[in-house]
Amino acid sequence: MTKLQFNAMLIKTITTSAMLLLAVIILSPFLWMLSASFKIQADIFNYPIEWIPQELNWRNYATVWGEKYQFVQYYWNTIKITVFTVIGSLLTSSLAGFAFAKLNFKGRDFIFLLYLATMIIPSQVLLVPRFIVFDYVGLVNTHLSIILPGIFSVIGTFLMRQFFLTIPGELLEAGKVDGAGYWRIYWQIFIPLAKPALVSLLILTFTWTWNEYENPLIFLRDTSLYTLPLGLTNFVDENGTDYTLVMAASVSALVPLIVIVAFFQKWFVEGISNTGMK
Amino acid sequence: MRKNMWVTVLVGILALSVILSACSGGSNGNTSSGTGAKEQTTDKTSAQVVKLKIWGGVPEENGPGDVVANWNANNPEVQVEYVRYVNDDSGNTKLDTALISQTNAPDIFISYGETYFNRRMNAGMTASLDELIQKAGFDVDAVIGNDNVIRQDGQIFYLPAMKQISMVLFNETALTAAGEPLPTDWTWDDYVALAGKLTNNGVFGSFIEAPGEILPKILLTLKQPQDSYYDAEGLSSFGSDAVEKGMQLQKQLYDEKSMVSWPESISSNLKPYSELFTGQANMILGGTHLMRYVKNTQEFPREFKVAFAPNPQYAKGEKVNIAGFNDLISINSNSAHKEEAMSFISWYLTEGNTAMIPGGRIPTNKQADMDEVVELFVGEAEDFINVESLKQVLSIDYVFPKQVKSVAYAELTKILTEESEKYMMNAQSLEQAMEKVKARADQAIQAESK
Amino acid sequence: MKENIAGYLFILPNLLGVFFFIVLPLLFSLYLVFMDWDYLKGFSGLTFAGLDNVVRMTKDEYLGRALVNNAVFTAVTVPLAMVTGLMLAVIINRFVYLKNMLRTIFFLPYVSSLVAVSIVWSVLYNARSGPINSFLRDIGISNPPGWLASPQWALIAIIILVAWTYIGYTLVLYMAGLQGIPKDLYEAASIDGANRATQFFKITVPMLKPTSFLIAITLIISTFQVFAVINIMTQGGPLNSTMVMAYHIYLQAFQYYKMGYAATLSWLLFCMIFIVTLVQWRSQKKWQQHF
Repeated sequence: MTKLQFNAMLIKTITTSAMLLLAVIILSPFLWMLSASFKIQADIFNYPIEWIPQELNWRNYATVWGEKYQFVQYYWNTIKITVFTVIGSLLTSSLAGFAFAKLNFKGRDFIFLLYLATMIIPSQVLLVPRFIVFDYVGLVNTHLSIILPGIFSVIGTFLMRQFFLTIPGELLEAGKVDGAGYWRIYWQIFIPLAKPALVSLLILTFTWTWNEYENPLIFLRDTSLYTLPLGLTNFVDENGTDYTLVMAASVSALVPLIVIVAFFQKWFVEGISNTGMK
Repeated sequence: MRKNMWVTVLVGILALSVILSACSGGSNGNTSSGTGAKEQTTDKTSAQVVKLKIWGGVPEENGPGDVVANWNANNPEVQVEYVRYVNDDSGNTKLDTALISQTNAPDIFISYGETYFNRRMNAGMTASLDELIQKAGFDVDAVIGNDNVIRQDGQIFYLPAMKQISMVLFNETALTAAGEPLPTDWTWDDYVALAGKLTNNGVFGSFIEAPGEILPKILLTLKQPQDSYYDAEGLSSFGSDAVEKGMQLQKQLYDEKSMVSWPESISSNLKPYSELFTGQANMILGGTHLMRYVKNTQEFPREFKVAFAPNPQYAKGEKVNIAGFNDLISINSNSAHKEEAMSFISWYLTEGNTAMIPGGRIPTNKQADMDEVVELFVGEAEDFINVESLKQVLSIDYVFPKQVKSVAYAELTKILTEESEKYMMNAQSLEQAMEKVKARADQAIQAESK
Repeated sequence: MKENIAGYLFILPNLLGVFFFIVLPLLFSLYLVFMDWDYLKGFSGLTFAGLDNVVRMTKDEYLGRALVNNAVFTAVTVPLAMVTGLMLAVIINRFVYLKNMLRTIFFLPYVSSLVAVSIVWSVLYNARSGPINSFLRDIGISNPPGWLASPQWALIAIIILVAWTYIGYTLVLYMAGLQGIPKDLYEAASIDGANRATQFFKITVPMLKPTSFLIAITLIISTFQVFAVINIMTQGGPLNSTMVMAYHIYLQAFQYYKMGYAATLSWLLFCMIFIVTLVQWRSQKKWQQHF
């Protein structure tokens, strides 16, 4: 018996070590980026790879965060766009999801089917007309051109509906008996219950918006409006082959998010996996 | 009770959208929405300050910053703001869309090369300048020379602000070590031979930036500086032996390993100046626009001097320079302040652009003193520059290419690049490349002239 | 009746948005399919083109390459990410300490900005002296691939990178799926004498079908739209070996300003995704239980 347990432990330890090794390999691009960002250009491709630079060279970071580039501004823009998009989409998605799941109104299933159909429309189909219309109404080169389409999320509505379906209908009836209106039933009964789904949607919308590239690329013009991904590509365009600088900029763009994810890893993992469960 | 709740929801959504629009305006007040509002007020009260927006591709610290500061200090009633765009495909797209946008469009913009300029002119984005030039009292012939400005249907749509001189830059130490003299009158055959001699110890003998500068195009320009892409019948000149020779020579550079391979140079986004200064290549094809890197020994520390030679010719004894007049300044045809824009441009072309010399840009102004230009080019880096050779290259009386025709110009460039690329990467033979490049180009011209 | 009104009011904000930002653009885009429009010339550049745009597709030499590359990219990336994710999920779920930590590490590439990741990888892939090729030379491969500089390898290089980012996603979903499989199924099987491999194929894989289906659908839809990696790393090159639909559309629309033709191409992409989704839907009736 103890031998069996010992064997099980041994196997577990071996696989854990193997997995840890694999994890290091998976992470190696990030590790390489981090170490390269502290090197000088002449050392960057030294082999064997110097994972820990001989001396820490902070100059790359001084350049990236210096006056010439506006990484603070990029962060601020990204945060602003993300916050508004997340709040907006949580609100509209949970409202619509609640209605699609729990209220009986004419044409509900038909409208919902249409909603579902739009989920497979590739963003490229919408890009051209959106650009033309936004340009016409003066939305191009404003943050609203990114925020507005992000708020009205079909996937978000779908996720919220799926979640609300799992909450028993009796709650709605009970609320009605107590004389509560639909708004109160939604706000005071269903929303508190929907926390897991809301967190899930929050995480998804956050990662999508934070990392979004194609829409900002097309809609934003002034560098002062750029989001992080755009600011980063702009930086690379200007500094091309100065790889140490480019790596310092990549670290600056990636690490805060990685820290957030590592810190809230449970939320992130549950957020993503909830979308797949049911 | 329930009704109140609904009101709250609607008010909430309204409030959210108000906050959203307020915020998206608020944080960028210094640029977009802020100036939008100001523009409106200037329209109403003409006594107020006019704001001009200029888009150009040169980083602010390499000249434009000084230009703008000089102007603004002396012209309180017309304030100028410089916006830098990266002069690549997506940067030029940003400029195009900015030009047609309703708000916050540039008043003045600088295009680099005929391809981008033609596209803007054909789309009607460039204002006709003749009347404005007259009003501003700007003498085109005296400052730039009538021959150096290409007119479309007799009208001027741009004025060139820079005379760029193409040249070959050497690592002088490597050149001396190879026992070779600095070339003065040479052909591309000589160039390829020299590249072989300068290749050693993992350092390439040559670097030419693909796909921007390719030998088929260069040799064609050298052979036929005027309207190089078109033959006498108005079809493409791509059947020319200059194209064939150019392809062959460039392929030879790759095959003999005297130059980093075509795809690698593109995928790693290699630049001539960094190849030379970081010791990856001993000889590069460049031009005066690289002077700002040449003298920047801080960012590119090096132990050798840079020496200069004129670009190789199609045949010995010729004096064609493949660069020429550039920095094509135009006024947005939708600008509300065309006259102010023109007075800025005329100032810029007569004196303003001297602030661009240290950044490597020779003014088109005929009066510009070349000794002074060289002095500003070199700055404090004379220990790292073979100044005599630079003076020599700049003093030659060159013939510059001139592209008057523009039928399918951008597409022709693309065709030439694509077919050359396939040949360079062994995806087709030279015969196939020559056949396709001519056939496709003729087709493109015919389709466009229909 | 009251419920009708309440229902409409609840969906109204979202519906309005969907109408203005999805349905209207969609109709506009369909209209553009039949128009020729040089965008730089403004609305005066808009002319009726009939089926010109559709005819043009048949002569478009990039389109063929783009379609093939899209198909290869999806057909390799999706199974690669799914199989790797599944195997890792099974191992991490049962045979490992530090479960959460490992899961988070494998998950990081997925939440990282694809833009930053592409930039980092394009330096790693540097053919002449990048760390990947230095390593390959070190272990005795004297002539390592040219990666992004090679028409044969560029698409493979991109597939590896994208699969690397998706593994975190498939892993997390599969681990969640594994939690849902009742333990007694395995116990019963092992009493019947089924070994681990049989258990895996007879219990785990079938029980994970809904998860697999969800992953497949979402990944296929997103791999068909691959854009950022291409735009940053290769711009469709070398020799169009990484030309894909989304990038082709982007070039037509925002480099050449052929708005009508770009819209036509985007509808072709739409149709392809639609057909693939439909086929999958049909083949997996189980999915319908989820609605």
